Amino acid sequence: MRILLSLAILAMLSAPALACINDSELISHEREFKSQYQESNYTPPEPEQISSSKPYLLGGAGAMMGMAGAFVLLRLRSAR
Amino acid sequence: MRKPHVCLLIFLALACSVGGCIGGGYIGATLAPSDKPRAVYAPLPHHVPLSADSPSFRFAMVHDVIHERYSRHGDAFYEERERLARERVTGFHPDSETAFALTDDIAVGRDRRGKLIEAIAMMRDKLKRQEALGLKGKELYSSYANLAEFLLHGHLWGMMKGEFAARQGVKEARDLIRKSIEANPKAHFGRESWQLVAIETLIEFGNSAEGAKKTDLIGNRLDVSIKVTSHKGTYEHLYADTQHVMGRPYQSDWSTRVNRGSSETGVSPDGLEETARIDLRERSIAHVGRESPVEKSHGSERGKRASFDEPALWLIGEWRQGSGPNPHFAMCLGEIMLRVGQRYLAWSCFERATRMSEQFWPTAALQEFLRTHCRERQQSIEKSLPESETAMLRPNFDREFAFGLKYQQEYQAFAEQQIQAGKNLNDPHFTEEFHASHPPIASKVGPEEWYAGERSTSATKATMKGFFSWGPFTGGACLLLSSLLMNWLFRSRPSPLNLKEISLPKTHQPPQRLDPLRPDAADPS
Repeated sequence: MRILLSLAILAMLSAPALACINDSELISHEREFKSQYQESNYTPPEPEQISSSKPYLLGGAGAMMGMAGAFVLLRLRSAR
Repeated sequence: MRKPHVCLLIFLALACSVGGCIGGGYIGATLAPSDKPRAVYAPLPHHVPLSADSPSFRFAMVHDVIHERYSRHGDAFYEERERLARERVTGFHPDSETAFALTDDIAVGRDRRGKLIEAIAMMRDKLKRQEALGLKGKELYSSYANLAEFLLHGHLWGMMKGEFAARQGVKEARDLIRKSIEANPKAHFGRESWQLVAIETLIEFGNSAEGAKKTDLIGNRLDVSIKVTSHKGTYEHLYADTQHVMGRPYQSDWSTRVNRGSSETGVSPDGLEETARIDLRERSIAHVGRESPVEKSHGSERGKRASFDEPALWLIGEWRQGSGPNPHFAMCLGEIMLRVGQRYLAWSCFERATRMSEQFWPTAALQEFLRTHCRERQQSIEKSLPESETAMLRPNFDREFAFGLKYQQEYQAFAEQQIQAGKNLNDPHFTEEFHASHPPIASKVGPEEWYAGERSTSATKATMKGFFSWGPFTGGACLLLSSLLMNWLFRSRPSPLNLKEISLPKTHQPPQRLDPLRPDAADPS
């Protein structure tokens, strides 16, 4: 705990600087930084699939009934 | 019943069908529920990086720097690296490219261990020799940038105290950064332009420290309150782009495009050309910085306005690879996170800034200002959160911060042991054992990087869909019913007369044939 505290104090006492350091570690550091965050195993939930067959079922049923009705009409005509 | 003409029957059946179709369709269109909203997910637009080879921003990066969750070298590492560099440099001509690169390593090591005067002297000497050799442009970049770094490190605090010489040192650093950007504009993925913005701002603060109460390093207003809300609705489109407002990481137009199923969200950032990438970023990512003052008396605009991930990546890079944490960075990250709706991250940034307030400015009044400002921002955030979560914010911060510091301490201790054991720190496997025994320190990237919305369906489309599904159904049903009814009403039936069977007598004689020529012959009478 004492070490942690001293590290925290050390971090607090360092004066601010705003420029970029350029040394032999720069390229490897950037590469490591990029690899740490760009890969993610998270995948969002699959969007809820809404069945699109309902309108077709209704329309199809309507067409079938219409055809049946036409058949009945034709039968009525031929029976005359 | 007398059967009507067949044409009339067909007309009646068709009329029933058309009537049923229109009536059923109308009822279906008005009463049928609109389409259930369909969830739509898209990676946030800041996943498109500024340039093809640069890393793109993740919110986890902010969490990790604020809580010190990253590897950071200690003094032992820099001391050993300096020793190795000094050994190597003797084998090269002092004006060789390798010798210049090793000089950078030695000087950075000096700077890291607080020996700034030596670090500055080494960089000045290196730059002088390079200029004498006639080197120009990119070859001078690291000398400009490192010398600027060391000068700032040495003079910024003095400038804040009002020391003239220190102010001159900071101005020299600013000029060197300008030169370094000119020499190598793509260095650090263009993030150095944000250093320039920050230094200009600090020089202004050096003229009048009151400025530090008005904006942060990039021009986000500190002198206004920001309403923090928990709802997901975005109203930032009602405000001018230069106003302070809590929004989302994306522009409202972008979410509208996603909800409408725009194909641009499915485009891989890798496949975008530079102009297309820049255009997409400009139209999609929320902007921060250079905000307008509420009133003219509150001062003028300063800083730079851009997509929020640009200054955020610069701050993270400075924190991790530059001189480390400081309250200006923490507060600036907090202001950015607040403006893109990341309340928990913003709260942690303000907490961290508060804990470094002694570094904010040499005067007690400005240090107190920072603490008060951060506390007010935190209170605004807390009001938007459930009480149970508010109570856990500080304990969670303490736990994460202690975890990060412990990791860094263990990392530095391991490196020291390796050096003492005679291992070469330039060996790529130098820290392999440490990483094998420790889980990755970087936080996992998760759902915070995804937009979740509802696919918008237009009312007209839903109405038409209702009509054209229910209309044919009821029309067909009416046709069938009317046909069956007519069939029942007008089908051919046996005569309703009450006929009885008559049995013929056994003696019955067949009727005589009538002779048409003799009609009386058949008539017995």
